[in-house]
Amino acid sequence: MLGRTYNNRSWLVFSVFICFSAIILTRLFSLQCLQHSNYRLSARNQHQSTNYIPPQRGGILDCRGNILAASIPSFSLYCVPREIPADRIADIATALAPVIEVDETELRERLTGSGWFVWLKRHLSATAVREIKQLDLPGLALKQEMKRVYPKGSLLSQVLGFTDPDGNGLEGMEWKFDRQLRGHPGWLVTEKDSKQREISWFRSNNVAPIDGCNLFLTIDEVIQAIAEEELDKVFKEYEAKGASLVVMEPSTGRILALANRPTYDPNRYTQSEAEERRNRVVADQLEPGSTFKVFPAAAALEAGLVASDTEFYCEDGSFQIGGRLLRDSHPHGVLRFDEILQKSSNIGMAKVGMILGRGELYRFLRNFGIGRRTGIELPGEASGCLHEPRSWSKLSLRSITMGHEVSTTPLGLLTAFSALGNGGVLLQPRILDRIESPSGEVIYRYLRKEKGRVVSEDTARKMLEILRKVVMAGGTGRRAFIPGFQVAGKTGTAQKLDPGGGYSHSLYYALFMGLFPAAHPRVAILVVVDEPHPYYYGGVVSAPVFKEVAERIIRYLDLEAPEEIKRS
Amino acid sequence: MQINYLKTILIFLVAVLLGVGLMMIYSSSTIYALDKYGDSYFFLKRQLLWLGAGIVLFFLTARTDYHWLQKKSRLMLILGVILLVAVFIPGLGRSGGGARRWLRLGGFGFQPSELVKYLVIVYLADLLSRRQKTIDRFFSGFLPPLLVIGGLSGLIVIQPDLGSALILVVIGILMLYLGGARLAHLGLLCLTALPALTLLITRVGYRKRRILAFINPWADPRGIGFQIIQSLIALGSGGPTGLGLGESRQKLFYLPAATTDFIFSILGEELGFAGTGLVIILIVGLLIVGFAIARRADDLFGSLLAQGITAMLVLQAMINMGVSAGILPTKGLPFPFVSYGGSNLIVSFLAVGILVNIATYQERECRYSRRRAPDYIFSPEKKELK
Repeated sequence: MLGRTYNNRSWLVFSVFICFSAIILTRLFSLQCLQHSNYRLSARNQHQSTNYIPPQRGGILDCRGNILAASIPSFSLYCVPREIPADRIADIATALAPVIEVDETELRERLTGSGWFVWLKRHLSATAVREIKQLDLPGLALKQEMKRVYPKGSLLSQVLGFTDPDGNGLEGMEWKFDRQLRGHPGWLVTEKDSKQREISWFRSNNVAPIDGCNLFLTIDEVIQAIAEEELDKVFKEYEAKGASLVVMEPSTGRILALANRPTYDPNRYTQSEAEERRNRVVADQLEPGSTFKVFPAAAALEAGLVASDTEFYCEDGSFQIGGRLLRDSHPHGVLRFDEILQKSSNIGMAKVGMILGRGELYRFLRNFGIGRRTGIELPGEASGCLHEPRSWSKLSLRSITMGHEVSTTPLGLLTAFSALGNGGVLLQPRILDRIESPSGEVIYRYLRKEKGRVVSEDTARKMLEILRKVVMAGGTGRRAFIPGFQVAGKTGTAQKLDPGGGYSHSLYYALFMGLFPAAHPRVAILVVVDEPHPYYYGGVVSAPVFKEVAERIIRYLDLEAPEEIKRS
Repeated sequence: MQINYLKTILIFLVAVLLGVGLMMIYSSSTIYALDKYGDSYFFLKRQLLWLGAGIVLFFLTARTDYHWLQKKSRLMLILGVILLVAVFIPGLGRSGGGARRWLRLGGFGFQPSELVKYLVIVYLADLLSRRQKTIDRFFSGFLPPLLVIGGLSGLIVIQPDLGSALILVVIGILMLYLGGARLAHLGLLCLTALPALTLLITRVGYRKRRILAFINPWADPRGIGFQIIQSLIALGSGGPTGLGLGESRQKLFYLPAATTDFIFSILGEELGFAGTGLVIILIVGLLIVGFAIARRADDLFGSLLAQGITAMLVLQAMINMGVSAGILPTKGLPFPFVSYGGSNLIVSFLAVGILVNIATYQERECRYSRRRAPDYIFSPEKKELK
């Protein structure tokens, strides 16, 4: 109609448009049908946000359910630096610094920049929160978090440990049982717009968090408080470098109290020193000195080589052995076996060791758990050290009978001693009684665990009879005597290894370990004082601590033994 | 009866596009409108207002004999120039986004370049249909329309609005081609235009970045490539059937210009390939109907006008879709009848009104004469013989 050329050109234009629409259609098919899954993924990455709902961290409680560590909600302050007007940074820093107790110049630094999120102060006090809300400053916001608190302060701090501000266990039980305490976060899948605002319309997949489990310790808060108090007294009185006290139930291996000095407050762990955080009871290895004499003596008794009344000549206080001179603090002539322990004669013990022989001594000590970890549920336990007899020197035998050339942790020492209080059966010490779910259901119970018989019941009984004399008149541990109670104990004054070589003549461990009532032991206590001044004898420094603690425990546990009173 | 049928189909196609457009404007703007103006119907209300005005203008143009336009074509050209110059007069013009593209009319802004696109089509259709005999000469036939195109697109370029200017040039060349210009002349024109275009793109930073972003949007996904990526995510995540009407996530401030230039992406996200495919079918339908009307037009003016208008509507739609789908560089062109925006809607209504009128006019002609006029009356026979 309008000419062939015109029609041809018209058709060509038409065809080009058709082609172009075909291209677009193909492209859309590729985008929307072939690559759909890829784009759906990028869309999801962009829109969806998974909000984790933090679980409540489990608490740590004592055997009676008193709370030692718990998590409570608290507020933390953060800022969005890019939303803070540059000209207001100085004002904000000035206004905020006194409220959150952060240095003003440092605060100004944190407020400056282009970041999205900078913490200003974690876990604010309630008054600070109120003040911040009143100030109503731009670019600042509060975030609710869970704060770990230790309501009893430094009580049992080395055992409990602490968590970082994010709730990760860093030390102690908090670290060791982090997985059980932590719980599982819940989550909420929602979608957000490009301004990161949640669109509740699209919320889905609501999973509630599972709170952490509660740890119930074998510790008794009252006994722990007694232990802390008494230990603190001796630590200060003797200006000691350190001190430890453990209270154990011999028949079960349960630890009722465990205290260390120096100590710290886990609520303010950042201000503490490593020295204060160390759990000396399990982490420190010490040469136990005379307290150790109990074990070779029990071995000799068990082997039938000696009896309580076997007499030993104690060389009037100086005895040449292995090319070295061995001395007693007080010279003795002839002493009975029980008197050797009562007076803690080094020469007498060396002779008992010689009768016993290397192999037997080693075997018995191994059975007592010396040189091995006790397996307690605490982190960082040291094993102590007991060499095999083939590497012993000529002097080793006599040194070991006196508690040198052998090392153990305070806990290992008390555990071995408690075997005598348990009829000769060694137990694994325990500090964790059970793990309970948040609803109170017992998930795991730590049971009494025997590690084998060390000596016969008869030997154990005889040993306790002998050790009762230590705290009686003429014994080294007289100051641990409790009227009306059968206390069996042993003192120890251990020379510390001198960093310069050999044994120091001025640095000592003062030790006392004891248990009572001797007939049916309920409580075993070990007191270790590290470098006391000016007195350093175990019988002088540590035995009175034992007595104080024991007397208060007796009152608390109501352990009066009437027939005992009648007899005395 | 065939023509009448075409007219009905055309109106039907436009009505469906409008329906889809209003639906998508409401869907894509609710949250933005609520966020910014506190009224989720803000954009829909304004668009309905423009729609009312558009429909009135549609009936006016549909009932006005399009030959009236031919008589007034020079006047229209002058009107176009005045409008484009007025943009630069302080007080009348309004700038937005670093460009002076708008005229203030009461509370509403009007974009003269939208109207000028069609005014040029009218002028060219007239000029070319009148100068059929000399079109193959360079100076007397080819150059005058070229100068008109060049001058007007130059005025648009300095706003600056390269997109509108380019589309004007493309349609202008298209009409020259349809109007019988020599291929040699057109080829020469393209050869000279290319360096100019390259210069216009590379000399201006944001245009260059847009082109680079188009070539590889992932090179800078947070910056200039952001819009393209967001558009592709919208279309791609829609899938074959879409997330469902109103379920778009990308409209939640992820995709910029979701109600205007990128409304097609939101449509693809909510209605899927089914929806985008339907829109393409509508546009192809518009193309077929438009060209059918042109082919059946009484005279060369009507035919050129119908093809120019159809090409303009379809080209805008296709560029818009092409940009959304990432096969064309980012260029803010609205989708006729679908995108939010008054100027484009009103002008598109005017254009469709003219198309309907061309169809109606011939229908009336047919009804009275009952036969077609012989071909030689309109066709440039001499040219054909050459």
